[in-house]
Amino acid sequence: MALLNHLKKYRSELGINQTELGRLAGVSRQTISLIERGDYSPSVTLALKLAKICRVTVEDIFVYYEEDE
Amino acid sequence: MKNGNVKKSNSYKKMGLYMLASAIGGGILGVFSFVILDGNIGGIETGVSSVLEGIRGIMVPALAAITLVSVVYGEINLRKQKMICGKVLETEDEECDGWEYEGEKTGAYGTVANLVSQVLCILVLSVGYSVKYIGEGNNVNMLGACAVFLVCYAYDGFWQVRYVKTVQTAYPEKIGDPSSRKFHEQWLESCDEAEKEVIYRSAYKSYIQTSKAIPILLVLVMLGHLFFNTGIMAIVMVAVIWMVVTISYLSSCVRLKGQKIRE
Repeated sequence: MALLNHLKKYRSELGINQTELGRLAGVSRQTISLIERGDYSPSVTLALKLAKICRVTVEDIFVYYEEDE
Repeated sequence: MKNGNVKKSNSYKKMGLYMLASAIGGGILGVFSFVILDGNIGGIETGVSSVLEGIRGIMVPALAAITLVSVVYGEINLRKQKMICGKVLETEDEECDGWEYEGEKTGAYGTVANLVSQVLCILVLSVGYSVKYIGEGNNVNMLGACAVFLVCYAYDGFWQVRYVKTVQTAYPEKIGDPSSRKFHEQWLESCDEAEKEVIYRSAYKSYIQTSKAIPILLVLVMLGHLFFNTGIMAIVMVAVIWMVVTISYLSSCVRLKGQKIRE
């Protein structure tokens, strides 16, 4: 199982950089970078926060799929 | 259920084989050590004694050289770290990722060099750290060595404070006074969830590595005592470290689980 995400796309639509998004979400720029690269799966709280900042649902940003799909 | 049973019996068999292999390996190592060392023990002891004697003779210059290398490398490293912190503040996104990785690497090299210099200083100083040696009219030499040792130790200590403060210029959200005893707790508190995960994973890996290294060290100090009469103190110390590492890890697990249940 894995998690795909479109965070970079939504962040670009907001016109903000990773540092700014991190500041809004209360995390570091590195964490935003890790999430965008798919190297870190955020907690439910952080995922909800990011969705709220991007004004979309969590499912719009994060897509869960099984490896064999 | 059936699969679980099969795995269980395999585990017992594997464990038994590991124990057998370790016992045979230990026996062979013991016999070989005896064959190789028997008759040479006196020679090896004389060789080691002359090496230690040689180090005692150059204790002050050796400590001064370690201090000098530590200072030169420490300053170069901090300078590079400052430059990287500047780049981290100037750059964005992917470019910043690259600089942060460089910063992490540079910081790790600096910290390891700092640690190595402290360990080397302790090793050199401990060569002459005996009442017998001091009593043989070497008190001035020992005093000089202690003075250089303190200079090196002070530099290394201040270097760590400067390193943390340099990192804090690029990451002002990272709080913690490096001179405080609660520094590690404060630092961890200021980390976010992804950073904490990195710290927890690294800490667990270091626990595993320590648990692997300690039995090997225990065998080495036991062999040292067996053939060179190095004393039981080293064995006791390694055994105590083993117990402290394991008990502190387990008690932390139990305490955290207890907290979760009570919450």
